[in-house]
Amino acid sequence: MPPSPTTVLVVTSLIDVTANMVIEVLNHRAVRVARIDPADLGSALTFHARIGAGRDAWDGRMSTPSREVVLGEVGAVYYRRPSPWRSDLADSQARQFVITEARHGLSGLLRTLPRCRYVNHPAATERADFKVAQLEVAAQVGMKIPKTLVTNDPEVARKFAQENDPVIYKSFRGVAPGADGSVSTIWAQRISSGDLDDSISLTAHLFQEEIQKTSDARVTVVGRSVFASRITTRDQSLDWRRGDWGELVHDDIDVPDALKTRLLAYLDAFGLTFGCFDFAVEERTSRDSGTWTFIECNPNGQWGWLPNCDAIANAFADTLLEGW
Amino acid sequence: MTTCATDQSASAVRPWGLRRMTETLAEEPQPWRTMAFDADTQLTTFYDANGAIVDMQRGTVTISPGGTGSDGSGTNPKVADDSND
Repeated sequence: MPPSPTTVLVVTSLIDVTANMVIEVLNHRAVRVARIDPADLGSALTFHARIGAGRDAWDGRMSTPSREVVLGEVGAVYYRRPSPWRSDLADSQARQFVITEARHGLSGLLRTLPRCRYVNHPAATERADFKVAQLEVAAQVGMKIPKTLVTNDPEVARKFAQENDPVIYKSFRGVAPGADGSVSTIWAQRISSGDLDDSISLTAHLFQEEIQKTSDARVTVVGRSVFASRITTRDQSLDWRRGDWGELVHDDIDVPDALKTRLLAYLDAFGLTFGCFDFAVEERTSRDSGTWTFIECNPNGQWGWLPNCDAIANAFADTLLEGW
Repeated sequence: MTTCATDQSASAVRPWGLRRMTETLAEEPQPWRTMAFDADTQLTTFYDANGAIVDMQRGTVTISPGGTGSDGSGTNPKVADDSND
């Protein structure tokens, strides 16, 4: 923490509406906010920083058309969703040079600001983004996880599907647009061994046993605060993201105390201060807290659509300003 | 020649997981026409074609522009990315 922090740096794109919710709370608390998008580097964003000659930490400034930021006054960084890097230069070599140098020079600085609280640090987000890493950490902190196979071996995949029928297939990252710009997606879906073929060998595939859930839970953890919503779909969909989000039914759900401790341990293991967890919940009676199975945790997840989004935005402000 | 033909057909194979994708999704119309950035508050406000403010807080979309799971610039191709929910 700088000796006298004055500024929260919000690293995100202009069209990030979720960041707006946190910025609004920070404004109410009379905290200075500087919103920057690294992809604006050029006339809309200039910076300089120095180290050495008696300095052992970077010091300098960033300027946008609306803010002049002294790096030493930044007490917290809300690292949300900056735009993809861009360059208008015609020459592809020059374009690539601009982007790579900016990534190392500017992003390198943005992840090295001295004594800052990061929500989240981008390096922690990157590590925690791998589903493979998520499942292992979840298991190690004591959460129940689905039996999972990652493979490119068709025979191993078939055997897993036979032994655990029905199983779920999900992609790790979704799918890029087609050559014509068309957009598709890959939902988590139920499959059987007969659906599989040898083209499994071309890349990594993830299969899981199906949890006989009665509902899903989205648990958003910010700092030490835990917010949970039960999510039910009208058609009992396997993957609640696939329908109209306006049709989702949200209600309150209590997170078992033992699980809360594990959620915090999970974040600590990755060095995160925030995460959006998805659980499959098997409730037997309405009074039963049920069996909670970890599905995944998005370290840069969306929460703006949740009914308790105002409380979550306040928790972000509390966490960013802790110790000021 | 036979080897060449085999190679060509092998390179045309699509990985199993990719064949589990949906049909092309209908493009959702962008709910806003223009955006204004307030230098004092650092907030953005979104307006529809009639100049009315659009409430963007609810209904976060699953399909975002950008290549890094970003909510970023609308000039980038849209990507259905798992980092976006």
